[in-house]
Order: sequence, then C-alpha cells, then structure tokens
Amino acid sequence: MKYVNSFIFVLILLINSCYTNEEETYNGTLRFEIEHQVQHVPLEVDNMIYTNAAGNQYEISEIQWFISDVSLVDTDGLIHSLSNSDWIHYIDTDLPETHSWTIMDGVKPGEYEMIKFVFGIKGERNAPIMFTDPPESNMIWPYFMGGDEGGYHYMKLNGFWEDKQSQRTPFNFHIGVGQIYDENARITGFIQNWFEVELPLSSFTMPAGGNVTAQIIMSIENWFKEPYKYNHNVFGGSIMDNQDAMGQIKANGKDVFTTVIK
Amino acid sequence: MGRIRFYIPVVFIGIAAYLGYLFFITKSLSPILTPYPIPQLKFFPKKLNIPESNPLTREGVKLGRYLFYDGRLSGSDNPDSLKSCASCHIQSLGFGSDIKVVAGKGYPCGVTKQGQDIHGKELHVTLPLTNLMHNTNGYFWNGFIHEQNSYEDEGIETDYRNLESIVWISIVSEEGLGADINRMQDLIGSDEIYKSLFKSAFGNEEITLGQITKAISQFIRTITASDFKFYHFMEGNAELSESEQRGYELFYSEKAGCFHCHASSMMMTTNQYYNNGKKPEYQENCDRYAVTLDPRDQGAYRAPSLINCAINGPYMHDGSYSTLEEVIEFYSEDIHNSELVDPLVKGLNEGGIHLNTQEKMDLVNFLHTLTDYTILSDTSYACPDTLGKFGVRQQR
Repeated sequence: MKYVNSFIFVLILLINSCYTNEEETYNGTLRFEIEHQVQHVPLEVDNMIYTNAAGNQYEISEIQWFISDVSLVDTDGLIHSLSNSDWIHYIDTDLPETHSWTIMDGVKPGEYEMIKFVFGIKGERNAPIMFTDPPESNMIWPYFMGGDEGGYHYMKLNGFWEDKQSQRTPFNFHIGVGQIYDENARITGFIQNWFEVELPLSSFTMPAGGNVTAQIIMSIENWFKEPYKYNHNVFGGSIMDNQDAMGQIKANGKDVFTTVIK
Repeated sequence: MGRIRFYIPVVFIGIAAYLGYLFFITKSLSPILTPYPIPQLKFFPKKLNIPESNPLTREGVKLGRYLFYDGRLSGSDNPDSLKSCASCHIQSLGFGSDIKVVAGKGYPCGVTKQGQDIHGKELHVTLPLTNLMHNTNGYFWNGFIHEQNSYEDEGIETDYRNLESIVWISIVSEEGLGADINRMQDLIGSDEIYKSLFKSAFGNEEITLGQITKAISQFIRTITASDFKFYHFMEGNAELSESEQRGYELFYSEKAGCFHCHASSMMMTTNQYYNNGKKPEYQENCDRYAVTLDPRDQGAYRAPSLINCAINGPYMHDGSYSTLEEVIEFYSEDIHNSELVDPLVKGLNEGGIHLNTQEKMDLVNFLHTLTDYTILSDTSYACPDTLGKFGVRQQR
C-alpha cells in the first residue's frame, strides 16, 4: 500500500509538471511599441518645424488615440484575434506608459504573414460612457454627434498651424463618428470613420516560448498627404462636425502606419 | 522514538494555543470596523483615490464628520473664534467657498519651486470638496498635491500626496485654522463624545493630529455630488428644456468646445491643466509651472469640475469673475492669444467664440442642470446636532 501511494504521488507530480511545461513553452510573447514620427524622425512636440503636403507649416502639441482589435494573419490566411481581454489600447504622447504593451494571452508559435488592427473603435464596440476612468474617458465624443455607436474620439491630434494671415492658429485634428446633416443643419444619421490597418512588411515567426516585438510607427505627415492633400486653411481648426474633413483623414490614414519587427 | 511521538502533538497543541492567544489579543485590541459602502455610480470613475493607509470605514467617516464641523479644531473654545473646515467649505455652496486662499509660510506652500517667497500672497479661490475620491490626478488648482510626490527625504512632516496632507496643512497653517495643536488636541479630548468616536474609528481614545486628519479625509471622500439633472438626462431618466438642450449641444459642440476640458464621463472635468487664454502674458506664483517647472505650463490651471458651478462662484483660479454670465462673456469676447494657450481653446485669433445673447443664456441654463440640490441639505453631510455650540454652521 505504501508503494502504491508513492507511485500515485510521483505520477501526479509528473503529469502536472508535463502540463505546466507545455503551457509555459507553447505561447510566445508579442509586445507592441508605438512611435510617432515625422519624416522618419521621432516627433518633436511644440515646435513649428513641420510642413504638410498642402504647404501648411505646423506643430504638434499632443496626440491621443485608440488602437483596437489587433489580429494576426497566418500563412494559411487564417485570422487570429489577439483581443480577448485586451482589445483596446489608449496611446498618448504625454504618457510614456501608454507607448507599449504586451499581448496578455501570448501568441501561438508559427509563421504569420501580417499584423492587422483597427484604427479607432468599431461602431458596435464604441458605446457611450463605456470608459469612466481617465485617460480613456477624456476621449469622450458628444452623444448627439455620435449616437449609440460613437462614444469616443478615435484620435485627438492637437497643434497649431500658420494660417493664411500668418497667425499661429490652433487645430484640433479630431476624428470619430461623422454626421449627416439635413438642409436645416439637423443630424439625420451617422458615418463610421474607423478603419482597418493591414501593416505592410509585418510578417514574423513566433518561436515556441519566444519573444517578438512589433514597433508600430505613425508617420504623422501621411495624415495630410495621400490621396488628399489635407489643408488646414480649407477645413479650419475644428472638424468634429465636418465629415468631408474626417473622410479625408480616414482615406489618408491607410498609409500612416508601418511596422518594424524586432 | 516513543518520546518523539509524544512530544510532536504536544508541540503542535502548544503552537496552536499560542496563535489562538495572539489572535484573541489582537481582536480585542482592534476596533470592529465596518467598511463604508461606496456608492456605485454608473458614470463616475471606478478607480478611487483612497490610500491603503486610510481605508473608508463607517466609524472613521462618522468621526470625520464631527471633526469637520468642530470649531475647536482651531485650538479655541471661545464662541467668537471657533473655526473648522466648515468655515470655508460650506454645505449650502456645495462644500465650495467664496473665500480666497493666501499662501502659508515656508516650503513648499509659501515658497515656489523657483525659490520665490510668496507667503501671504493671494493664491486662489477655494475649490469645492465634492467627488474628490474620484480624482486621481492631483489636488489644488495646480496639482501640487499628487500621489506621485516624494518629499520623504526632505524632512517634511507630511508627504503632500493626498487629501490627508491638505487637511494637515489646513489645520496647522496660520492661513488655515492656525491651530495650537496641543491645545486643539486637549479641547477635542475633553469632550466625552470623542472618546467613543476615536475608540470606534481607531481602537484608542488618543487624540492625535494624524488620526484627526485621517478621519476628516475619510469624511471628505464620501462627499459625492451626482444627483443633478444632466446626469439623469444621460441615464435617460430626465428631460432637458429646449434652452437647456441647446446649451448642452453648444457645450459639446466644436463652436464652444467646452467639453474637451470640462467633460470626461460625468465628472464634468478632465482634471487636466490648461492655459485658457485669460491673459496676454503670465507672471504667476502658483500655476502648473510652479509644480512642473515646464515653461509650457505657465498660466495653466486645473479645469475645475462644473458640477455645482451655478452655486459656488467666484470663478477662475483667481476668482476674477463673479457670475457664470461673466465667465461665458470671457470665452465669448475676451480670449487672449499667446504662445502658451492650449490648442483646445476656441476662437483664439478672434478674441473668443462670439456667442449671441440666446446662446449665452442657453449655456447658463445648461450649466444650471449640473447642480446637485440634494447635497446642499443632505443631513448625512450636515453638522451633527450633538456638537451643539461648537458646531460651525455657515450659511450663504
């Protein structure tokens, strides 16, 4: 009986240790790092040293934005969502702790063709007042301007540009849900402006138990470049109620993000 | 072997008995504390500013409420010189005040980070003591009191991290209650009612400044203003008048843009610091720059919560406007452009946003929907009757 008990005890230990080892070594760790750049150089805030494609001289004070629903596409074209428990991330140029995060659940080993994410928040997930704690809650989008699927800004990019009168003028390059207005300036509907980003050159191999870091770069000048030369003198400083302006931002946004795999 | 078999259970029983004794002694010395039921507010921050060293308990909050109103906190029992927290933070003003604060002596309150002595100089109007438990981004107009502060190595008696430090400063500084601490402790200790209140809250009858500040801080953290019309409107339980609705849409519009600094869930503030274009240039003693030493923070102050703004002016950090109409007039017609103004301020190059008379009235009417009338007379926040002649009952 003594030997039987010992045998069972050792067996349980062995089974347990095998299981633990497999769990520990199976998934790899994927870390994201965000960098904001202008012309391949890290952003320098509060300095009017930049010129956009429309010829506006400008400076950036701060950028606050949401990235959500990050997923990986494997070599068979299957999409693996990484968004079970950490589906959304807030990034703020003033808060260094928001510039990186690690996928909580780990990533299965294997080859991946591409990293995808949503810039902003999909409508069905963008519920009003879902965030009550700052800093995310500070991204609130007015309810009457966004409805039940437009609770938060996707991005607030604030700064100044030199206007036609050579005055330093503030711009709030803000994007979120757009509105459709009737002839009496009443809102009759909403337009979702979030978009999916497929990061170019983002293929990587995740070794079992390995570490991969994906640096996501926001090239700020590209917000103003193609297909539309976004001109602050045309749209002015405030655009939350201007779908034409936000439509251009959405279209230009496709080329804004690149990645470096480390 | 037989002796070992005998001793093992004896040793175990001995250890168990000793642990039981320790448990009994500890329990009999510690008070039985009841956690304070924190209201779950759907639209308020869930992250709370309650330090581990001072959790909220019913007993602590009750004691804190007595002390908050007790005029003997000033170190005097003369009816003509009684002063307490309630002398400035008046319930009928939403625990706000119409009193301006001056700087105390010495570092860090009376000396700026640049080394300038500002003792006695006028600093700012007193901010209301509501919803402070929901603010995790520092206190005072410039955020000087902040949980990230570290003055431990500088021989300073308090850490300037949280409400406890504010209460401490307010009691000991000449410009606050200016209490003789020993006399104050004697006076409080001479009242029988406090013996049981302190025992319940802290397990002893010892009256110390540390325990006093903890209890008052607990009470202040419970002061919550959320019963206002706009909150209920956002819940779907109230309707706005036509004018209030227009004011609401203007407040949250790109034209006025008030919400970018004065929203964030339903706190009606981001608790961030902004230069709002109040002056053409800035030579301030206690702006955000005095805390951060970042030149870009010159002239920047906290955007205060607008909850109860209709009843607790004057407005701006320096109290330069007496009415909401004057504040709106400033944003409409008197904005000053400078290198330091925050880009969220509207109408910067036009001197303001140029509202018409109707729009100004609509905004004022909307701001009145942020008034929590319940808190103004809620008896659970009021001066306890049992304080009798020592209770400070200010009315405005």
